[in-house]
Amino acid sequence: MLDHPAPKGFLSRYVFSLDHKVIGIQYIVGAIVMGLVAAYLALLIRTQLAWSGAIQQPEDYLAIVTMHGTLMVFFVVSPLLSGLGNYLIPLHIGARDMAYPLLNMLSFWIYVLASVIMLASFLMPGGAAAGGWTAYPPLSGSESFLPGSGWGQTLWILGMALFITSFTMGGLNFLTTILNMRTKGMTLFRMPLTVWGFLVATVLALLAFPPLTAAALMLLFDRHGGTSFFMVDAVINDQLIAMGDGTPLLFQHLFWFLGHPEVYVIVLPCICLLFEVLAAFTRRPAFGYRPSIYALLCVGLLSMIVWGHHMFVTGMNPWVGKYFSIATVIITAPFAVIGVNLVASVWRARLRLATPMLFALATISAIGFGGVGGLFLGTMTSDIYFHDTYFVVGHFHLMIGTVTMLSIMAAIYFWFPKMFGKMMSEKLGKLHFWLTAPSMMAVFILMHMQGLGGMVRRTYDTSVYTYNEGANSSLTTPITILAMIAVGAQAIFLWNFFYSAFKGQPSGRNPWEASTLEWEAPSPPPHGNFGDELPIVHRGPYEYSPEGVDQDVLPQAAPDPDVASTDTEIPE
Amino acid sequence: MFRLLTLFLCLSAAALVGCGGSDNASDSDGCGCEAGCGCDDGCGCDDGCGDDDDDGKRAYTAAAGTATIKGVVNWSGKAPRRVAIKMGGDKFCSTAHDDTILSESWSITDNKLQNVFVQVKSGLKGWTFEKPKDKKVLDQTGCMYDPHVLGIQTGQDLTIRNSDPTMHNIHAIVFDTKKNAFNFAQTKQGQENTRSFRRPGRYYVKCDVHGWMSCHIIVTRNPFHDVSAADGSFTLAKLPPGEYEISAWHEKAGTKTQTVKVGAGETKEIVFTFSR
Repeated sequence: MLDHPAPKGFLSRYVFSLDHKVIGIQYIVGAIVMGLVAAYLALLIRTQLAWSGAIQQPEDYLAIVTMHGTLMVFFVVSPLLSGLGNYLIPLHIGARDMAYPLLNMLSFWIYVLASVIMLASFLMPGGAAAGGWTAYPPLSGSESFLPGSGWGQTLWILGMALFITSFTMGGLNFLTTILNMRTKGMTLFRMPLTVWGFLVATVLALLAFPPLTAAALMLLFDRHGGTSFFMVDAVINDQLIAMGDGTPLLFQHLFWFLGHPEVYVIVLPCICLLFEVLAAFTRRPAFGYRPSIYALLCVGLLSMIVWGHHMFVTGMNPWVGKYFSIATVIITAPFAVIGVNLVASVWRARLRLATPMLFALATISAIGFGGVGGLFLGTMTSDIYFHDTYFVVGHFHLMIGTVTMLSIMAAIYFWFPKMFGKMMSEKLGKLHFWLTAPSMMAVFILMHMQGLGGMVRRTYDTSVYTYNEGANSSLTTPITILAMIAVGAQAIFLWNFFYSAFKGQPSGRNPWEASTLEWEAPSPPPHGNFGDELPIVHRGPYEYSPEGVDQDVLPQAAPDPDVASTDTEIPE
Repeated sequence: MFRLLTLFLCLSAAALVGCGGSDNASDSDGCGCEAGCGCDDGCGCDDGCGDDDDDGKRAYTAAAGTATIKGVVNWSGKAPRRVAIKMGGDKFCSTAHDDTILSESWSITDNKLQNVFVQVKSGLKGWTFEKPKDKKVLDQTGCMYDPHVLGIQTGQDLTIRNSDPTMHNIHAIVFDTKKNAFNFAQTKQGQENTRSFRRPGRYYVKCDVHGWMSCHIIVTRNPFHDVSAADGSFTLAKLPPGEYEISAWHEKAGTKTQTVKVGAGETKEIVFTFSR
């Protein structure tokens, strides 16, 4: 049984809860709140671009872009996955809670603290951090370069350090739980692919985040301790600003040593959870379970050695660039295995087009578009042309924006009945889907077109800086309108989410007739998840349409319906 | 570096074509072989002659086989319920049949048990058997395997055909070790591939796309085996005269054996009776 008793008061039940399910939902709600801020910032960016010269000063625009990127990657998508992982991992593997419940609670509240500090950056003299979500020095090193590089940047660094602390604590919890707390019969190769996705992502995060922590601390020392790890002397307005003789390039290496694996940290669980949804709504086993796992491991390994493709334009040695190009192209091979398995999972299937399935299918489409763009950016020769254009903006928004958000939406619609014991409205869900997915896809695919035309990114006022004219710049206003539609549609989701949590139709234990272990628990699961006895796992996670049973699914915890003969005849 | 890249891409492409990963390594456990492999080509297949030393053994010819054992497999008691197969997950499969398709694990008509594999278990020591020239066929039609139980001799070619306009993969697993014998996909209607087995034993075959599709292949060193028909009948023909232990195996009901002595030109009839 659990070593922490069932909560009795409001505070221990809903605020300082040790229960992984409550903490998971807390993460999701926290990420939604931060998502609203980040989405508002996105609209400010698009408004400025579409109707140039209207609202913002250059330094404001840079701060908004910086904070939008930072919030989305680290304070929206990452905690959404922390929330889903927290909620799903123990239920998926048949555990009563995470390995370290107290650490789990602390990691959430440190995330809250990090979020508050990050948002407080807006209130600082000079405004929020403005050196980009990558915080490249020397721009981020001194307010001599940017007003936002004053206290706003300092709070950004502290917020990031706290976020990394929180994420590392959560990652240790995920890893320990997956490896040590699986129920009887739940071997590694019987785990749902979602758990595999979280396992690989967690290992990547634990390996990749420490260099960024080191970089952030070194940057902090450069800013306030008089060191010059990254800072160099600069000339601004014909004035020499003495900063030291460090190397800004070192920061880029440290940042992208995290930055590229971070893409996979958030993309891999999102892709893996699609298999759950596809299997349930095609009533067929997820295609290529083991090959997907092996490909996942290959992607994870390779993702640690390709960071340099973000730095092709830094003037790196061409041989180093060639290595990073080849390594990046190689990673497409195992990634393609996963992609083909996703497509094969729905190939000629009879689809049940419920809302989670719609979002899952749209995610596969986004992976396809985003993946193709990645080939151009992973190859040095083409990246040098594309690097400072909207092609890059479109690409990474497709991969770590659209893929992740659509996939997380699929996950929320899919597991919402388990979380709250209620169904979300299908009508509102489909309306949300049709307003969100096509507009999001269109926004970022059109940005690819602008990049192909040579439109330079990081330009805040196209009425002043006219070099983008003719570079498919006529698409800017339509993109902004589509972005407004995509953001506005989230109001439908929010209403559906919160209304259904209280007033939705009762869902029952297993509304999607799915096969994995979480559906054995009541909806919502009680303290300890599974009652007196933990379930025993008898088979893999996707036994849909088996022979010899009345249902078209054989759940992982169901005993064998008709034991086959174990006799084996070997003739003489 | 270029060679390394090429090798990696080729391996990945191979994994993609055949469902990926080690699951597809048809020879991974040395049990499944591409057709056409011979003893000396280094692929590890033998010719079905078994592992015994040939000294002191007689090569079987048709002239030596004048005896016949015939029989029937009965079922005693109430027949187990046959569960309807749900093919709703696939567009083609769900419309391929007008009638309800029942699980083939239990197929009992008028107390006669179908799909029982009957073979000579012992009594053939001293005989050696050539690899048969004729091929066996495992068809995938209407999203079902035909036949459901198939006997084949070591080294004999097995043609695996996809008669359906949908993709199947043929995933054969050695029952004893649970290792993959082979695993490949057939994406096109009419596609045929040939495989053979070098080790006797039971192989479980499934389609990973369509969860209900499964069948059993039993590989023997001798040609004396049959699968009971819908009327429960089976025939082991062209046996050399002798005393044999005959076994009957059913995937759910288990195994029964009995000993039969049969003379030259003689036909003996036997009965197996299964129950729960």
